[in-house]
Amino acid sequence: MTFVETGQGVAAAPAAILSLQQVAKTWPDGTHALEEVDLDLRKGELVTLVGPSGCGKSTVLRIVAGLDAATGGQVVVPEQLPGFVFQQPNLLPWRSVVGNVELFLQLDKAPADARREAVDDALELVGLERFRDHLPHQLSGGMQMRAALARALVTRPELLLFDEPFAAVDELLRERLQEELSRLFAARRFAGLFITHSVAEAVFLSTRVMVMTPQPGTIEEVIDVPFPHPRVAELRFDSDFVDLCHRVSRSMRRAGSDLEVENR
Amino acid sequence: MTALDVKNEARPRTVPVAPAAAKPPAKRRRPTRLLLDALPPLAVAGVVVAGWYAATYLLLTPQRRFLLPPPHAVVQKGLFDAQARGEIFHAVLSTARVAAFGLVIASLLGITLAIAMSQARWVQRSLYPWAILLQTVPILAIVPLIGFWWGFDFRSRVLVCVLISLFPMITNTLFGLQSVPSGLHDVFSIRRVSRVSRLVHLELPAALPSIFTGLRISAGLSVIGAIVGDFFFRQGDPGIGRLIDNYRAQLASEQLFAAIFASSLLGLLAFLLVGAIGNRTVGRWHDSGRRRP
Ligand SMILES: Nc1ncnc2c1ncn2[C@@H]1O[C@H](COP(=O)(O)OP(=O)(O)O)[C@@H](O)[C@H]1O
Ligand SMILES: [Mg+2]
Repeated sequence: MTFVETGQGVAAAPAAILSLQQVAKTWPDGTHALEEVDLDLRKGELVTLVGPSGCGKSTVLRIVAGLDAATGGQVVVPEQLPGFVFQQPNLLPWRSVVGNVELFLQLDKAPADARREAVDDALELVGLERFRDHLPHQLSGGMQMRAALARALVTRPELLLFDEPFAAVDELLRERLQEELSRLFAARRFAGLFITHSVAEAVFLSTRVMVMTPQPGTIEEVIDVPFPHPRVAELRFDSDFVDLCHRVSRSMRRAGSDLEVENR
Repeated sequence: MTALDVKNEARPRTVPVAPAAAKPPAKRRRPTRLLLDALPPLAVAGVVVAGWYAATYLLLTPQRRFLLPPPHAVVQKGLFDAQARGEIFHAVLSTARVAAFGLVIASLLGITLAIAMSQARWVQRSLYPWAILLQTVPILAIVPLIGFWWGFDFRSRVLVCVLISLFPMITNTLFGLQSVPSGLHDVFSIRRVSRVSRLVHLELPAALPSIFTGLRISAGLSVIGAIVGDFFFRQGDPGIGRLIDNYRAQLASEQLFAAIFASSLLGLLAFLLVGAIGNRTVGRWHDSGRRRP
């Protein structure tokens, strides 16, 4: 038996735009992926879900995005479709950067001038203006990720979902992308739900870290991160930052040992 | 001005230092690369021509030399004899028209069928076995029947081409439509797009390289179909198949060989043309169209 600790006793000032209550998911094959997941997300919050692989992080995100349905509990999502950044850039290889970024506006049949403005805006945010006519295969991995980010931003979603978007890039680039995302978050103040299995990434990016336990996935602990955005590289060497990382790590270890006990 | 001159003079001196082989092939200049690409097959052609001459003059007695006329005699008839050249050109053109019609119909039909199959499981389950049957029935066996039903002219010839080149179009298009990476599908799923949008903006563009693979195979097959049809159907505009048969009957061996080469050239041309169109369309983003090093 696991106890759920929501850590959200404080009365919510602005209304949550995303709310999960007691969400559960059992896959048709019987895999019990999620149990009693509670999560409230407001504008200006960037919440990360950390946890070992297979603990159901992606499942949470897919339920929020409407890619899969929950089998229990309540999910309240904003009316506007969320932006989604995947682990892989998932760019259409036959479309240029501009073509990829404007895809959703085109599918929504947005007028051409509004489209152009929004695309230019998004490209500027991620610093890809000079590569607008490049094809994905002509871009480095980091630039492909930035293009994917621009594609998610172009519809100006109030909710952005990230499924380990920086897991496949090398460490130095990953840290740079984290700093860029922090700047972007400071500029746009969307509501973000970010998935990662890296503790340092979780602490660096989020306003709140939620540690997940596996099998079935549930929220083990919620830890607030007070540093203001935009956050800069030096923060990583700050002792408060390091302490928070340790706290999250310890929480994850506890979650892991639960699993071992259950398996025995 | 002087600085510029010095720079220009200095450049040639630095060039020979880098060994040519160290340069990546993509950066090699185009004419050089073409020449290098053409060299090995040209060498093979040289060996074949030499062997041909040897066979003509060493193996065959002058009386039996009509079985394999020397290359220059074939070239002489095929290129410089106005009558033979005219006949062959006209026949190739007629065959090309039949093959082109057949290919266009087969690709439209094949792509349409593949799209229908990709959209609904039951369509695929009901149609695919018949598509396989189409492939396994020896087309030559039903060609006479086709003539019997639809007459012995243009229509039947085109039909033979369609039958022979339809299957690769169906399978390749279907394969392309169904092997879109799931990550790309997710991009469309989060936007809740309609099936039509998904087809138009995702599945069809993603399938283009496979469609062109199918087209390249089918182009060659369609030419074969047109020539086969020619052997069977004796009405209408004669194609290169009929001409080849006529030359054989007349023992006009130089013309016969020239006509055979012309028909091979047609097949090659069809293959290259479709390949070039494919390159222009998908080569920009798909590596199967880009040159390998
Ligand atoms: N489509 C699916 N069908 C069945 N089981 C699935 C499916 N997707 C994920 N799972 C299972 O659900 C659990 C959680 O998976 P996931 O959410 O992808 O974990 P994470 O993203 O944390 O690595 C895993 O045990 C996984 O095997
Ligand atoms: Mg995952």
